[in-house]
Amino acid sequence: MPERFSTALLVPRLRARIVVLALIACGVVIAACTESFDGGTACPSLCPAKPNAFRDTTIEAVVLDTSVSGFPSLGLSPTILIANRPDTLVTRGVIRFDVLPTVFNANGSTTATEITAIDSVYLRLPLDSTGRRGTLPVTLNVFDVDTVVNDSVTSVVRGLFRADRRIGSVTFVPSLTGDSLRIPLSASALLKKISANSRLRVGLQITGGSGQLRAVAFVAGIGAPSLSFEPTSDTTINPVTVSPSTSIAEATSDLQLAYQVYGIVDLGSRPPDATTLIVGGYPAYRSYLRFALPARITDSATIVRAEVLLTQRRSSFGNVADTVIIVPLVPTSTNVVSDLRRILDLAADGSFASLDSTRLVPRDSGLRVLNVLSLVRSWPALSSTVPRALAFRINNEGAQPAELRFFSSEAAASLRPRLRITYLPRSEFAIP
Amino acid sequence: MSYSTGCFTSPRARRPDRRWRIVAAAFTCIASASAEAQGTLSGLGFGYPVGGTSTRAAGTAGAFGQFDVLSPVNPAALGGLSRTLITVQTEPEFRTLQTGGTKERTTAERVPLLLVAFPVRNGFGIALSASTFLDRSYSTSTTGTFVIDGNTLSTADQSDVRGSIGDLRAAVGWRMNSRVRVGAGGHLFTGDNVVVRSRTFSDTLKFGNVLDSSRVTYFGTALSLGGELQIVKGLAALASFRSGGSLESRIRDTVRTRGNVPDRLGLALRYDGILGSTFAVGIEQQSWSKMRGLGSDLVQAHDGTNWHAGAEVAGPKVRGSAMQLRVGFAKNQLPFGIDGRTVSESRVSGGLGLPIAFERASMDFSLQRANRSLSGSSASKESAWMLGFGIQVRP
Repeated sequence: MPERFSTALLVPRLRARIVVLALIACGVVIAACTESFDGGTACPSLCPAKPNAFRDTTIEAVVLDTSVSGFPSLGLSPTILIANRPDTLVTRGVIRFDVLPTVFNANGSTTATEITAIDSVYLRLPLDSTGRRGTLPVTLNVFDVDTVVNDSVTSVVRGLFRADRRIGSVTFVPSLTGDSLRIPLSASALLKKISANSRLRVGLQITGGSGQLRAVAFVAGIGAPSLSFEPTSDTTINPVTVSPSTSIAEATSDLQLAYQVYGIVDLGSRPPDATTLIVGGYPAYRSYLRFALPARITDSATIVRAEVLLTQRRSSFGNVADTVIIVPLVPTSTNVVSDLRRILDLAADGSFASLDSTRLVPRDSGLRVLNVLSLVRSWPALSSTVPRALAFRINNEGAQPAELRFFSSEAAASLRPRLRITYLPRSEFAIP
Repeated sequence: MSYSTGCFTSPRARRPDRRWRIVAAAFTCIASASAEAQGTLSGLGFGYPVGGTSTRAAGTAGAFGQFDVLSPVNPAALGGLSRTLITVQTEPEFRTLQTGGTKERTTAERVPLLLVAFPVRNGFGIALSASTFLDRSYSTSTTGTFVIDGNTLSTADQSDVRGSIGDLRAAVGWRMNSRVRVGAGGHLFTGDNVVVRSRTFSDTLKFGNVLDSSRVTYFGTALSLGGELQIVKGLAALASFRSGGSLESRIRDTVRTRGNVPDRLGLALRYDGILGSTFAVGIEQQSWSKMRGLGSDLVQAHDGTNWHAGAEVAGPKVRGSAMQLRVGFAKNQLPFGIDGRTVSESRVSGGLGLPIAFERASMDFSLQRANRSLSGSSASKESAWMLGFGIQVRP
């Protein structure tokens, strides 16, 4: 009995000890796994390594470059310029009030009263004070530019800025303007429009001196200028305010928006020749550059530096001494889209590819270096159907009379856009 | 993590097959933690020759490797095996590199050996083992410069190398009679090295970081033969020879370089004429130069001769069983050097063997102190403490 008793106890105890030992082994191994391999003080004497040199190359990798004008699209610019700077920039503005009220509700009453007499008609123009220019008095004239002729043709509209159509004006010093400008308009002219159930389309033009205003065109997609008038001689009745609107038969909403508030350029940026790329200006340009990198770099190297080298040309247009921010754009469309305008419309802001903007001065010239490292490093991962490209616009595009000019790929060899790449060729360095 | 469940399997195992599961769980744990390390003096070329001996043999500085059944060195040691053996061990190393006036400490964890051996009829024994042949794991952080456009940029470089070449052996031993044992083994040498390299520039606005990796795998074969002859009572001579076959490095399934597994010849004498004590001396010659074709021109492989001497004596009894005390000394030549110079190593070791659970299991501990130096140079020295913990289970 004692023997049987001891055997019965022994086997479970042995098993338990074996289990415990296995667990101890696990514990020791896991605990000892806190490794620390960090070293290197003996390098390079004890760290023999194969030569691992970076390579630096500057290549004419641009296979296509061009400038495209007309940015931003009508209706998409939050501001418009109204300028009279005969040496560089002359522009006008047009605001449409195609829907005019014929009745009013006195101080919110539910009773609609027909408008038969009006008073105190003003056009209120919100201003971006950072765009004003001029220290001498100028006159802002307001013309009735409504016509039954096709007024989507600029020349037609331009011809309506006549003295016999002037319905208001105000004289002011641009540098002294505040955040808005009130321009008194002819009450009789507006009453005539209201009575005829017609529309009011006004043209704005600065005369009598050199000056410039940057007017706010849209806020949250709604026209920012407004027309206000008192619908009765009773001064206790609140004025009526009318926002810009347009009605073009069978037009898209984009087109309707485009012609609510828009600008006309009489004198703007000089179009570029074949050797020039323009970024900015008025009307604004964007420049597009398409690259082709050698496979030895894209496929078999780690790129550590990538810079676009552009040779800037002196510009004489607009605010030549102002600092202009050039903003990179990353075209993302595939080669199915071949229309450059469309490609540029679809391009993403460079910040999405971690590209920084750069400040340049239009009157300067010389080599400019723009860092495009993050973009170029992203190219190997792109589908082969996405062209490797880069585009540029300026900040305040369409509202800033300043342009940057660069030599294009058709200029002299030393002036062309180039790509400077520093890279480390890949090697199979695991074999000691 | 996959091994967690295995590591913490309930210890209340009842059925016999549960024991195997537990052992398998232990193997899984160890396999998952098999990152191994080496330093800069010991880690040149393809890495440090771990040796693959058991903790028992490590306690004698490798001197018992030729006849220790747990060490996959001499297949003749399997002859006459009477019980199934499963062993696993871990061997953390705490290394200090002294170069110039600075010291650098690193820690590495090694699992140099997994072995299963079991007896067959008529004095035959078979063993399957996995041991570390060359361990190449280290990290270096250095600073450098880069001149571009006439400007000098500083860089921070990091290089992480992980991996090893392992020796998978299947061996059979036969005890022909009371005086002679012979054995043979087949080896597969496999493993890989993954190198991750990064470089960071001081100017992070203009320059992007470099992060690159490369992986190489190895495959090779070898055959080994061994024998043991009882010369007189208590004195035995042992010999083993490994004939190296081809050893290739491959990158993405393409053979990039070719060399050979180094031949190894080992000779030893053992004396166990005193009850409870064993003494051994041995010499080992490895033709590491056969690996030259496997690496680049930067790899300088030198043939090496290693000497070992060690002893094991019965110590005090613990719960009725005698504890084993071990000491040893070894003088080794490491396989890879630099600038035409070689790295030598001396080791002093001590160890302890504890029978536990009666004859079902035992534990071994070893402690080795290694000093390594570069020939013709006193500028760089390396010392290391190597701990060993092994467990043998005889189910």
